[in-house]
Order: sequence, then C-alpha cells, then structure tokens
Amino acid sequence: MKIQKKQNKKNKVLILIAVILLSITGYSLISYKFKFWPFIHNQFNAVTEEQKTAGQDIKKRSLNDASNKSEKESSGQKSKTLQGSDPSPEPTPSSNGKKPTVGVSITTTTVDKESSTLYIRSLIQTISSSGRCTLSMHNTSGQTYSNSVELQAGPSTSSCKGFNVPLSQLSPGKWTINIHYEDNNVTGDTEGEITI
Amino acid sequence: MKKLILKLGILTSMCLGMILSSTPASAVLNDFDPGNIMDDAVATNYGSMSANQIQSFLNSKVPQCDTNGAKPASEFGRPDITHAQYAASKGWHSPPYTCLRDYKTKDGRSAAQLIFDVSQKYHVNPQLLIVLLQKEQALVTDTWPTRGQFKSATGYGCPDTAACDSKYFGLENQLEWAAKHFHYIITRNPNWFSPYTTGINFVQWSPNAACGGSNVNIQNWTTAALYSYTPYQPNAAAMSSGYGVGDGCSAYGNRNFYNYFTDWFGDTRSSSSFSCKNGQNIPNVETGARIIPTRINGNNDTLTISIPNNTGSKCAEMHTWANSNLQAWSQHTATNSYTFNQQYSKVISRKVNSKNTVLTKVDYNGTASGRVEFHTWTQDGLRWLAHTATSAGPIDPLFSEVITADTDGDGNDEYYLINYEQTNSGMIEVHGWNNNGTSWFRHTATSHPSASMNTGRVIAADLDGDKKDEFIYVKYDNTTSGLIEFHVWDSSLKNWVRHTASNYPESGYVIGSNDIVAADLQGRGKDTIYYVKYRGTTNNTVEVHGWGDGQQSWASHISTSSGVY
Repeated sequence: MKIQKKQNKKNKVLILIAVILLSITGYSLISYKFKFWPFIHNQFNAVTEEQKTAGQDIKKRSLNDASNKSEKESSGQKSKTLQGSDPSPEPTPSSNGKKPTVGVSITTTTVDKESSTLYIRSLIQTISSSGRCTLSMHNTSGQTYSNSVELQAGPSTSSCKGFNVPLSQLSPGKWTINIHYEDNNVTGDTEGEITI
Repeated sequence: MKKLILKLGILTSMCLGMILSSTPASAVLNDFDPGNIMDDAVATNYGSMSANQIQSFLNSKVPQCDTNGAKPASEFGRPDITHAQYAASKGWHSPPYTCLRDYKTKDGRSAAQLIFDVSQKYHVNPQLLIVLLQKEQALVTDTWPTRGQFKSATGYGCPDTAACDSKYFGLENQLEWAAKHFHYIITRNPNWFSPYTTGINFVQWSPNAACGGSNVNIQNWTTAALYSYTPYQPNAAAMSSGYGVGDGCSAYGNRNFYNYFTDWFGDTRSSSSFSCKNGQNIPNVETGARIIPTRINGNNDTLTISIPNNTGSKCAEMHTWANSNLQAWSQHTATNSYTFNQQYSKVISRKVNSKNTVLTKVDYNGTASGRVEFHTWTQDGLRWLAHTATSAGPIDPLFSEVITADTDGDGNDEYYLINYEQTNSGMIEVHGWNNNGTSWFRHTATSHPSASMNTGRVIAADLDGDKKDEFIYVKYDNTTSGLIEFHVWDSSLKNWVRHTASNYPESGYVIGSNDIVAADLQGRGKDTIYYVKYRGTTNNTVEVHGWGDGQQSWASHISTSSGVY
C-alpha cells in the first residue's frame, strides 16, 4: 500500500511539471504573437546593423540623386528639387523641338451612385503647380465630355485637381478617357477606359 | 510518464529556442498590407510621444555623432579616408556634420521640439514624422548627415514656381509640409487634391511605368496619403528582401516606412489603445467640464462628463455614468487627446444609430486646415475614428457653436452650425452639414433675431417622441417672464410651435456654471430637458435636475457622484 502512495505522489509531481512546461510554452507563444513581456517593443533600443545599413543605402541614393541633379543644373537643365525615396524619373526628351514628356497615369475611376458622379484621379510624375490637365472623354456613339483643371503639387509627384464628372453627362456604356498634362517645360498623356 | 515529461521539456526548449532566435531584429513583412499600410488611428495618434521622449529616441539611435567627419568612410567603400575627405572628394560640404539629435534652429529649438510642435499642430503621430525623416534621408540613424539631407529632410519636393528655400527647404519647412500633407488628406480637406483615394486605385511597382503595377483596395486615408507621398508599392522582390535591395522594378519608400515604423514603434494598425503621453495641463485655463448625453449599445442615454483641462491624467478625460441614477461610473477614460482649451474646442455627442453615440471634438478655430474640424473618437475614447476639415471656415465660439440633431429621423445625428451673432440675415442662423461636415444641405435664417449666447442658446431634442429632433431656443436671460423660457420651432425654423416659461427663474442661471442638456435617460423614447449645475450646489456635487414634459415642473433632482467643477 505504501509503495502505491509513493507512486501516486510521483505522478502528481510529474503532471505538475508537465502543466508548468505547457504553460511556459503557451505564454511564450502568446507573448511573442501579441508582443507581451519579454517580447515587448522597446523604441529606445540601439539601431540594428540592418537598419543602419538600410539608412546608409538611403543616404547614398539621396546624395547621388542630388549630385546628378546639381550636375544637370550646372549644365543648364532645370532641376532644383532634391528628392528622397523613389524619385520620379527625369522627363524623356522629345524630338522635333517638342517638350520633354513625363509619366501621367490614371490612378482611380470611381462611380459614386449616391452623388451620381464619376471621380477620376491621376498622377503626374513631376512636381508642379503651374501646369494644367485636360480631360477628354468619348464613347462609341460619338458623344464627348471634356474639362480642364489646374494642378496640385504633392511631395514627389503632382495630381490634377480632381475631375468630378456628373453621370448625367455620360450615357451608359464604354467610355475612353484621355488626360493631357502640360506646363511650361513638360507634357504628358495617358488613356484609360471605364464602363458607366 | 517520465518519457512524456522529457518530450514536453524538449518541445518547450525547442519552442523557446525558435522564438528567441527569431525575435525580430527587423519587421515582419508578411504583415505588410498594401491596402492598409497604416491606419488613421495610428497616424493621428499625436499624443504618442512628448518632446523629451522624441529627444531620447533620437539619442538612442545615434549614441555618437561624427560631427567632424573624422571616422572612416567605410560605408562608401573607402575605409582608407575619413568622412570629411570622402565628402570633399564628392564636392559635398566640409564639417561640421550635425546629427538630427543635435540639430538646433537659429532660435534654439531642437529637432525633437520641431517634430513635436508640428505633430501637435497637424494632429499627426510624431512617430510617423520620425520615420519619414528616416525613410527619406536616413536622418535618424545617420552619424554625419549633410546639409543637403536636412534641406530635403522629409523628401517633400518643391514645385516649379515656388520659393523653395524659404517655403519648402530646411527641416522646419519639410516637417511642416509633410504633416500638412497627411493632415489634409486624412481630414479630407476639400481644397487638397491627392492622386489616391480610398477604394480601388492602380499603384505602380516603381517610378518606371514599364514595370507595371496592380490594383490596390486602399482602406483608409492614411494609406492614401502614404501613396500620395510615395506613389509606389513594394513588389515581391522588395518584399522578400527585408530592408535590402530588390530588383530593377522595386521601390522602397513605403516598404522602408513600414519596416522602420514596426521595428521602432510597433504595429501600424491599432491593435491596442492609446492615451496621451506626458501630457500637461494648460496653465491659467479653465477646466471646462461639460455634461454630454451618450449612449453605448442601449435604448437609453446616460451622461458623460468631459474634462478638457486640469485633469489628473493630464490628458483630456471622459467619465461616463453607468445609468440614469448618475451615482456609479461605468467608464473613466484618459483619452488619446492632450488637454485643450474649451474656448477653442468643444466636445459634442453624435448619435450614429439608435443605440450608440460617439463623441466628437470640434475645433472652432486655430486649426491647421484653417477650417472648423471634427475629430471623432471611438467609443472608448482612446483612438480617433475620423477626422474632418469641414466646409466652414474658422468660427468665433462667442458668436457660433456646433451642435448635433437628428432632424430627418434616420437614427443618425447631423452636424449643425448655429450662428447667433454677426449673421448676414440679422437672424439666428442654422446651417446643416451632410457628409459628416464636408458639404451643406441646409442654410436657414430662423424666425429669431440675432442674439448673444449670453441670452440664449439653440438646443435639439426629440420632445414628442417622433424620432425627429426639434430645435428649441432656450432663453435664460432678458426674458419677458423672468423665467427660463423654451421656444420650440417647427421643422422650417420659421414658425414657432410653442413658447413655454419654465418654473425656474432666469436669475438662477449662471453662464459657465450651469448648462441645459437634452437626453433620454429613462429610455422613454423621447428626450427630457435637464438643468445642470456644475458648481455652487448644496452637497458640493454636480447636480442634474430634470424637467417634466412641458418644462413647467420638476420630474427629478439628482445630486450626482461627481464633485463640482
């Protein structure tokens, strides 16, 4: 009888150890996932090698970009803005004395049924507030819509100041969208489609 | 059994070993969501760091600056020459090279102070600005930054026709423009156009259009602002290389933004609550406590007391009573907002459905957008739900105020601007906003002549239980009856439905110490009008006295559990 009691006690201790081990594992996994102690973020930690190296790459790109631009400025080309990450490409030179071209793209065309409006937004790969955007739309029946707006300069690109087209002026069906951008120095075009 | 324990022990050790060995030195890019790079609650958490904490943070990232450029230029592949020599070889300027942590303006303000000040001005998380400085020019980690890096510190370009040096370039200008960019887009300022909006947008992989891109369902205005800042999303190669280099079609701005933010400050999407950090009470400014009706998943209102200043937590506070007895509290909140002056901002309640209200901080003037702004809290008061730069210019709180009312009976309150004095029509005017404040649906010159707010105020209440609020002109001074009067308009605001002289003398009403609030505390399906005394009460507690329907007798008197203000 005494031997059996000892065995029971031993089993209880082992079960207790198993429960403790499982609890430690469980807490570790949960705290890792949800960033409890000891995995809590400490914003005052020293910078890691990876972060430092990435910072050095950013600096190199920025200073090289600045050097390139200052070389172009000294050779007479207009470029007075320094840019950080992912700068827009330089304008593409055109032949026949035409203005260089910059990238223009349509970022979104959204129909808002509540306000019966088609919202068209665009991206111009130059930083300017002096240019003008012209929207031209046509459908297969020969119907057209056009409008012209000014430009909003952004941090690294620009945007046409919003084309909000009343749906009452667009009959149902497929429409082709053209956006033309032009300022004193550069020009650019893009085309898209939307079904009303 | 022993074997089982042994196996469990080994399993535990393996799990812990795996976790510890994979403790992130860098961000987990698996969590990068191109449609939700950062949410609005995190981006607008402008109370996340004090100026001192920002300084400590900057110090921690650069323990030693190479101000004299004396260290080897190893990172540029030239360990044989010093930074200063390398700079000279490239035609860059000579030392000193001032680290961001040591930067000072001519009038002695530190970079940390500039970051803090602009974050408060534009309600932008200072951590967001810190990460911008890093992802654009590496200014946070750089031990020898050049003047050129400070010139374009946040990478905010100068338009062709602008005066770049005075308006755009330099740390202060760059922080200002960056914060303004986020603020204007997040608050949907009607005069600020951005190339990206919420919803489906086409986002390129890189500045090279030939690389293509993909449609991204942008879920919030902060992410739209990030793409409007750097209009490219990381491609698979950029995503799989951590902080490293991807391929010829990779862009890094938004990826690095996400990496640095998550590594330094945690989740870019609010998984936890915030309260303002290291706030301060504003000296010589009144506490400005006000009682507001609130409803939290129920069929009846309770009351919340908002305390904008002189709080224990040094953040703006909200204290909500559990029920209509107004004796026990259900919620005490030190909000994410710093303390504010009640003269320029006011907290109001807005019904968002039949069972819930949210609180909105209305900034009347002195806003970054130059407009009346609405900043709406989540129900816990710890995060921002929405920010709106309204269609109204700044207003003088001595002549105008913003209230809410459900006048169409759809269960949601609309915002109304009430102009009491200096109106074009010479009458008290009521202007109704729709789209949460971005456009108008109504402009009405009421039948009451223009009058000072010291004489009376317009309140909204559903007195007849038809689910639509009526506008009531409450007159508490210069009345013909000598009593507080209630003048109820019909829906046109041109005709009166009734005029009631209450049972309470107007001489008893003291502006600033007393208030009149409409709420349905009992769940009757219609509002009761309450007379609130913030101070000067018998038991030194805030008192709430409820009028009976018709406002000619009292239905309840409550000495609440709140001390006086």
